[in-house]
Amino acid sequence: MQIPKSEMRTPKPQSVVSIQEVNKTFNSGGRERVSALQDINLEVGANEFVSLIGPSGCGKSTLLRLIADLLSPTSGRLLINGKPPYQARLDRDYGIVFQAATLYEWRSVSQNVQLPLEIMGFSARRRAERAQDMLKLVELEQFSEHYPWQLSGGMQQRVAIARALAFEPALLLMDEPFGALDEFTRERMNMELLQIWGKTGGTVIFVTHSISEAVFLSSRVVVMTPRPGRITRILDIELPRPRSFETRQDERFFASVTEVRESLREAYLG
Amino acid sequence: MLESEMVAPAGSEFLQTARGAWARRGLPISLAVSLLAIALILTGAHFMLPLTEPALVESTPGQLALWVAGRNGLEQNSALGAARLALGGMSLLLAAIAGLDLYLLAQKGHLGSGALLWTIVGFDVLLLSVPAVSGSASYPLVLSGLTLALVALFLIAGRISRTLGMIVVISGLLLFWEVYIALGSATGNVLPLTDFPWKMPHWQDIAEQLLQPARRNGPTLLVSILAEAALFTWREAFVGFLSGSLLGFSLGILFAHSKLLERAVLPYAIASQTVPILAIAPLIVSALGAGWLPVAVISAYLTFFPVTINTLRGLLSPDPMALDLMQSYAAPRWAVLWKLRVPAALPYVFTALKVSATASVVGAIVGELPSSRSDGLAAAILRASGNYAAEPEKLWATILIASLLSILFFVAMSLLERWVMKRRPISE
Repeated sequence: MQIPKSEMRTPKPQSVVSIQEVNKTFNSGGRERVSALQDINLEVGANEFVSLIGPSGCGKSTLLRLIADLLSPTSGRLLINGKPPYQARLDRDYGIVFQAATLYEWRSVSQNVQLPLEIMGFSARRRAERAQDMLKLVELEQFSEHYPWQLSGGMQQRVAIARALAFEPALLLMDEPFGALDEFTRERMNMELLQIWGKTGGTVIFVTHSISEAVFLSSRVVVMTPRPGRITRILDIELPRPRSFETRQDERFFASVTEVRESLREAYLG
Repeated sequence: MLESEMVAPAGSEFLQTARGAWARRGLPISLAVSLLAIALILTGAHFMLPLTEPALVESTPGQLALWVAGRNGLEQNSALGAARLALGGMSLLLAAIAGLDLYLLAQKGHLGSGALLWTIVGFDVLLLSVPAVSGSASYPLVLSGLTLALVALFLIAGRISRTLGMIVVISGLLLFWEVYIALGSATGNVLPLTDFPWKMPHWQDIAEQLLQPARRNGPTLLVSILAEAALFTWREAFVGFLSGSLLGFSLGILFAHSKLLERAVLPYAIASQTVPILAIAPLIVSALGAGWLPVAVISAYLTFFPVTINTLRGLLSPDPMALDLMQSYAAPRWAVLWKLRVPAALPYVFTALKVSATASVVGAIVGELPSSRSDGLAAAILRASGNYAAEPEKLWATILIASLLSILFFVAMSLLERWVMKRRPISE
């Protein structure tokens, strides 16, 4: 399915992330050039929860890394809060959570949460306060003096979320953050993420390959397909908030899941 | 049929159980009984030694007692009596430990490695005390006791700690050494290192030599002279180690940040290690003049390279995601270095520091040779090896102290490492 042309014009003023005609080719000079992303257009507004979903190799993580300025596009334009991604990164406009918690093993939980604050030059007292608040937010305040290897995978990922939110960025980027967790932990983490988001607000861009996770969390789901990575469809999820465990039993939930699955299959079959 | 094949004949099963029970209980018990018997015979023999017996006079406690008596103007016979008491006490203690082994074996049905460890240590101490060449049969008894205890260790259940492993290796080496000498004299000294002038000394002679005056009737024991020499050498080595490690660490940081420097300079750092240190040591000495400086420089020369390589590896070890995280914070270079790369490199750096600690001692000894420093270990080694035919024990005693110095330096680095890394997950 084609993107409506209306979305391809200049960014709306309220857009937090604006992606226009972006292409990304790896190894562009070499013989084995890989077109990772082709003609990507996407607008993400303030306080939206947008999921990027698709099979591996569809470029969803690449797209997230372009937004984070961990990669540069081959062509096209990205704007974060109206600024180029490089400037947005320097301004610390976003927090990011990776698939692995990436906690530094020599730092305690609290020190890990304080890491970005140290780099940004917060005072020791403010750092400790913020870390305490953030750990309370992810309900790990009693583990602040533990070390990462003493925590379970889900707890480590919660610390990573606390670390990403420590400096109160308005944009949270999440790259398959619960991909390594088991189904039960993942569903619980989804619930907790929504609760955290309910308290902090802000915009979330969430990469996943789980259809139910994407539907459960998001206000919009962006369906992508591989070779080359393309956006095939953007679905609005009309589920009421706050969402709960009952949401997963809702008929509209199943309808949306089916819709996402259909569009993925459609795209696959060509 | 399959089922009939799987059922073993009743007779062989019985035999197997019997053999299993014998291996589990009978063998350890008879070993422990033999150990106890040996220890008891040794106790009796040592307590009944006449004061003129060479087995007492030439024993390590005997010689030490005579030296003390000579220094303080005491009577020789009472000193020898005290030595006899000490020798007998050691054997008695050993007998008590062997008895405890047997008791534990009877009580619990198996022997822990802890009790056996002390048995082995006890036999080691006796091996270092009982003269090999004397009228009594103590020496062969001690050797067979040590052999039995080591054999028993292979049959028992229990945790093998690092200390136990170390003791076993040392005891095994001692035993091998002594058996080799015995074999040498049995075959008419045709084996290498068993005949004059390159004869291997008994370990009791080495231990005794350490507790003897360095010069005949001199005031200080060889062990304290050697300890002073070791301290002297260590000071030079430590300066070299510190400066070499700092240089190595800085080079590692430099190389980690500049591909150009790494490509351009690292090959020369590698090449520097292929130059024989013995060849350039005299050059360094004549360039820098006599004194501790050239020694420290040579020591640093051997130290810096492992630290450089390992620091570089460690600094490049953080995974890409950890680096992406830093990039997402727009972290400046210093932050990436001190908050990510250096902490991640520490395990690598400590591995190098442990290697370098021992290398720096070797470097200092090599450096002392051409700079004619007469107070260090190099001079002690030279003196002792010049006189090897007459006093082979002195060279081995010096070698022992020199290796002890390296080991202590290594252990100190390990302890420092453990202290610095106490918050990290245990990787073993």
